[in-house]
Order: sequence, then C-alpha cells, then structure tokens
Amino acid sequence: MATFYWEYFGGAGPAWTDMSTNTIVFAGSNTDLTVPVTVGTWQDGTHMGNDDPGTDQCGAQHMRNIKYVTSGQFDQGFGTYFLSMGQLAASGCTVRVRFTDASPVAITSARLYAFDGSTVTTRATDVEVFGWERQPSGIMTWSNVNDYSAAQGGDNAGQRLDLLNQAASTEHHYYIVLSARPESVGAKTSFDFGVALTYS
Amino acid sequence: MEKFQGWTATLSNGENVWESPPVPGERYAWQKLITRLNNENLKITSLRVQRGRVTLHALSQKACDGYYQAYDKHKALISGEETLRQGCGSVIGDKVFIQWIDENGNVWSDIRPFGMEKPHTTLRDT
Repeated sequence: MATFYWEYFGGAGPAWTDMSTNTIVFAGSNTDLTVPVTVGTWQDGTHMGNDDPGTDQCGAQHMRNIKYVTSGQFDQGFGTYFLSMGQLAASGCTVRVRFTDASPVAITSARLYAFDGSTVTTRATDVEVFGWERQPSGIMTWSNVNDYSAAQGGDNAGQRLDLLNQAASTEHHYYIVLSARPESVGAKTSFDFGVALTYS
Repeated sequence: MEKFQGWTATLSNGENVWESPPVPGERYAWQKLITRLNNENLKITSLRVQRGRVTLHALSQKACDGYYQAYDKHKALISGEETLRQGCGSVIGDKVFIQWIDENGNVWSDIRPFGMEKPHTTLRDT
C-alpha cells in the first residue's frame, strides 16, 4: 500500500522522523514556538507543535529553520547561502516527504503546495510561502507557493512547488525547505501543506 | 459478491486483462502489462477504469497513440487528510488526456504533458 510520511530531522540520532499528528509551526523565535512572526517578516524559527501551536514536540533539537532571504538565497541561522545541494545538507531541510509502496513504483507530477486546509486548489489565507526542493536539477531559486494577497497558491500549475520525477522504487524521498511570513496579525487557521504525486 | 474495481484492458489478441492487486516486490499490474505488450508484440485496443457505478473509457486505439493508467495520491501535513484517485487516459501527440475518479466517485478531466507522464504510458521506455 502506498503511504506518505511527513518527516522532520530530529528525535533520537537525530534522524528523519515521522511528524505523526503534530503540526509545523513557523515562529518568531528559534527556541520558543509561541513567539509570533512579525507581519511582513520571515520566520526565525520552525517547530513541531501538537496543536496550533500547542507545546513544542521538536525534542532535543528544534526543526531546521531555513529562512527566505532573496530569490536564490537562504539563511539557516549562521549567514546567507545560495540554494544548492552543496550549501544545504539534506539533513538541513525543513521536511522530508517520504513515500513508500511495497511494489516499486515510478513517480511523476509530484508537487507540494500550500492550501486553506479544506480545498486543495484554494490558497492559504493571509500568508506568503516559498519552497525549494533540494535536488540535482540545477533549479537554485525558491518557488512562491503561496501569496494570499496576490491570489496565488493551492494545487494549481505555476503556483506550487513541482518536484522531480523519480524512477521505480519502493522508497521515495523529497527534501524540501519552506519559509513563511504572515500578511496579517493572528493565528493562521486556514493554512496547511499538501503533497501529491502520480504513480504506477 | 463485490463488484470489480480497477482497470480493464482489451488486447489486440482479443484477451481481456483485469487489474490485479499489487504483489510486494513486483511492479504494479499495469506496468507488468506494458512489459508483456512489448514482449509479445501486442497492443491495447481499449482501456477502461471501473469504480462503483462509474466506468471511465479511454479513446479507441485508432484515435490515440497510446494508453495511460496511474494513481494520484495526496496527503495534507496538518490535517493528515489523504485522498486517492485512479486515472486512465489516452496519449495524443505530446499530451495525455486523463480522466480521474476518486474514492467517492467524483470524476474530472486533466491534460498533462506526455514527456512528464511517459512512465505510466504504454509508450514508456522499455
């Protein structure tokens, strides 16, 4: 049976670990998930909470925080770097999407998107989000996967992060970085991430 | 008796092939069928996907260059909600014309680039 896992790099080891029923929390602090992000600025911390935000479930290490700087640059807390496999380790990515099947399957049309939590083609409310897949394609710029004020987002062509095709295997991994900033004050309750792919 | 759900292909030798459940460690039945078509020099003459009361039909062999079948799965991070849909379609030139059906019987159409979706078509690399 085909199964998706959203994973973070942490826990014992640390290692890529299933986030289970926890949620991703973008915060204004790298150590405290209850600190809100200032409107119009990018997050300073990425955490795993058990509610919205609930209590921190990151464990010994907080989730990796990758912050948008420019279209081709990021900050992981110790300076500005270019988006590339050489400057960002797989273990430095925000999340890993893991897809497994007991049969080897080939994957096409894999994509990650932000949406309102109910309709996959509807953008998330009052947030702007950029994403990047750590992969060898040579794409070294962020994709704008949600911009509420510009009516962009959801599982729509040109408004999501397209992920590379993968050849037949029982295990598929996508290393993804995410950065978000609010467009208004307050909790963002109409904001979720989705991943989808086509396989046979 | 539970009604059959999945794809059915009619081959150029008159045989009907029904989708069978995946076997761990082996390719899906659709991929096995494509391999067989290549090995035995057969073609699909019609393809359909049946789910509940709905049957989706791909174009006839004369109207297309090849056939497509795949699954599309989604999972949300925060809500954990998952959806699964099955598609069948026809390759015409550089496009694949697909009809998808989800577990609730909802149907919709999609057009995707052949170059992207080639691995799920009868025109895939052998």
